[in-house]
Amino acid sequence: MVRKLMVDSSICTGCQYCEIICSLHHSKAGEVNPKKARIKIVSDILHGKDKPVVCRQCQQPVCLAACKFKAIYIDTKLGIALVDTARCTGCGTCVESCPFGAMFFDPVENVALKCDLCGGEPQCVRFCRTFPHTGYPALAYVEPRQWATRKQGTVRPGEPYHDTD
Amino acid sequence: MEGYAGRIGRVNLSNRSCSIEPLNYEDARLFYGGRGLGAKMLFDELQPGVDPLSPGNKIILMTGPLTGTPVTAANRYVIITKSPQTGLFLDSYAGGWFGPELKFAGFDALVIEGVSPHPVYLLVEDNRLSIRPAGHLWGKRAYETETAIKKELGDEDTRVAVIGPAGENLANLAIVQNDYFHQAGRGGAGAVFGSKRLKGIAVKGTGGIKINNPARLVAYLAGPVENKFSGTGGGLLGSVADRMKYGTPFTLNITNAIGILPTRNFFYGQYDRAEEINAEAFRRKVVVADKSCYACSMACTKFSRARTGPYKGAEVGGPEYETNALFGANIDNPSLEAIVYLNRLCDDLGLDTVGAGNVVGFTMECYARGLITSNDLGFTLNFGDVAAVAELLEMMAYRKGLGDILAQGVRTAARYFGQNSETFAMHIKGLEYPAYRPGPVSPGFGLAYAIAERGACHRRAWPALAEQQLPPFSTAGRAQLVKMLYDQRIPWHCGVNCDIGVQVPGLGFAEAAEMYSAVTGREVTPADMQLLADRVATICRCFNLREGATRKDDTLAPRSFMPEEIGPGKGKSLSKDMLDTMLDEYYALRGWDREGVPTGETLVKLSLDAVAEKMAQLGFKPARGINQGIKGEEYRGAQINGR
Ligand code: SF4
Ligand code: SF4
Repeated sequence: MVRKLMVDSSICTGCQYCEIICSLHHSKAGEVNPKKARIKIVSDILHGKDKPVVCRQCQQPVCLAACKFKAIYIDTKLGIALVDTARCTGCGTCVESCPFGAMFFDPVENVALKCDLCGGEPQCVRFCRTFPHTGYPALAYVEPRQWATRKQGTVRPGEPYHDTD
Repeated sequence: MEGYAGRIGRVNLSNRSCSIEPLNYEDARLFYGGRGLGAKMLFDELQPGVDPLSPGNKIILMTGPLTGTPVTAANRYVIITKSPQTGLFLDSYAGGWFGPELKFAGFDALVIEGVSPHPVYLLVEDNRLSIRPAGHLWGKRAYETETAIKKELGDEDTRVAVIGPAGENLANLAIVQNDYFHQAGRGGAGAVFGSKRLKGIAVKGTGGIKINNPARLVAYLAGPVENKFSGTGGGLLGSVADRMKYGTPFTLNITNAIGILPTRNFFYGQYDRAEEINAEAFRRKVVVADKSCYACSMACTKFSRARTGPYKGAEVGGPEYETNALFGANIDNPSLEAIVYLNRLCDDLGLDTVGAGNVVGFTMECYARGLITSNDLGFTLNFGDVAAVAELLEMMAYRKGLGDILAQGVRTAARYFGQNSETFAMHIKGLEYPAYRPGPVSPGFGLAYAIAERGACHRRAWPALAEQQLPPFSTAGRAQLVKMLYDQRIPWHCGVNCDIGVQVPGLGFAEAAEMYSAVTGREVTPADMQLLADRVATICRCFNLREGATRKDDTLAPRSFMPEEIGPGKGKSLSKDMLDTMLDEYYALRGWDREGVPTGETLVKLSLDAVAEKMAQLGFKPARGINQGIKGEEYRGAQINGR
């Protein structure tokens, strides 16, 4: 089974380290710019909720099928969909098509921004902190099955850390 | 130098002009950013003796070269201005996302001058500044205002800083609140906003921040910095893990044990019901989620909710230790649910929970002693009466009845009430004590409070724990310790980073120097960090001296010199002689004379030649009597009536 970026919104603190590191890693100019990140934290600060949104690396990518310019292709190394920026026209069809809202857009470069797993070593997960009282991070590069079993039993009684009301 | 946006936005609200100036890189090399560069600008730009609530005062809203970068907790902005509460230097910090956004919008700083004839807010969008009407927002509470501005601009991701009714009504206890749960709380920055009829600032930026050497920075963060978090034992340092789990409220366990937890208006240093509001109770009863500011993995913002009782449903990002102590032990309220509610109410009204909690404790003591009665208030005000506190807070924010006086802080209230109430009015230089109670078990905290230039402040040096390793009930080693702790924070105050986010894992000069170097491309050393610290401490001192502050102002509230009733220091007291000894030593370490005036030699050594010249012109003597923070009355009256 392939590894993916797995998320648990109930643990996410909204620190944006993932966005920060993602944007810096992919920037040719050496810039930090969370708005150009390929992972996005959708926040509802007022209600204490943060949700990391990132590509699910579909087996049959909806975005790939939606692109009329063949700008999205399957990379042979990791077997995931990638954006060919030379072909991307910036039409935004893929952004609309992604059922998870996980395809982003760079309005300055006018290209689609998709998580490429940093070629197999996702940088965001390096900075997503595992808290001692939760035992696992909000973001991990793991097999989905592994993630599911890890999750069990981590919510200890008397230690609420996500919305239970 | 990378890291900087390279631009400063200047806005004159009197003539509605906005301009963009290049950053002065020469100053930036000496003062870096944030507190340092802001202090330099305030010293240069402000007319000495200017009334803090007059058009002549300025709001200098600073970020720093690290703000918005991946450097640990580099998420802050700082408001530098002349405080209406103390009449002295004020630097008030807030986290969240507002500071980084200002950098993404292309600005290192905003300088706001003059006074607008009508309520306005400032919009900052990618290298553009505009002044927008805020008549429809004036009068609204803080949370509603932020939401309304986001709606109006049609962008949920806009970062917004606002004032509430307390700021509009020029209360000295008024805060500036951004990203809903983050506040520049202390010293009355909100009142300065209000005096300029500035309801808020909205920022949207799509630009990036250039890092000189990203690979070096990221490797350093993932390596040496991460090792600091984990300590030697693998996993995480115990102190780091505690803060991650309990946030700042963990401090309550420490202060109660040492005997410096303010209880019943600072009368006692321990609370008999502390276990109902301590860290464990906090986590168990009200915490719902762990939340972080930008680029910080400490997550010390504990999102809380009252799950039971009369305040069920109240939610807040917090409360912090200060709030738990001052709206808990200090007013004898053992209900965390009530604290969550009062925290949210203070935020919404635009009141500082620290200053307000202190003032409420003071007022309760006045009531208990019969100095004020229910006739003065319209209701009874016994210790622990949460409903009465809520009523009082509303009166303060809207300046109604006695609230008009209380909103000006505990110094003004004590003057008004008289009858010796100043002996238990807990403030220094006009700024209310936060939730540490200096005394015989903590002489160092007394020194830290006394020398903080914005008045009683726990965020300049925090000797609470380190001091316990020194000889007890003595001044030995305190001056050195306080100077070291104070200095250690300065690179971060200039960064601008959160000092909790960096202090808990113990990031010091070495880490600061390495990260400044990687971000800006200018190689700096730990020795440069020390020089920066001395330079910034000294220019802030000069600002205060120029405003007329003297050694006499570096003191404590009378109650701090009283013998202890209970706890580890029982029967002992912190004497004025002890404080004097510590002050002598501290000034000497700083290269200041016995009156706390930096010598000409020190100023030149710190490359503060221009400051030395100005100080010499003033004869190094206090220019005028210390501003007692009540001169603003004229403007207050005029503005409130003129609306
Ligand atoms: S780094 Fe982890 S905790 Fe921080 S915002 Fe991203 S997913 Fe959430
Ligand atoms: S961008 Fe969306 S549609 Fe495309 S692979 Fe990722 S999750 Fe699937």
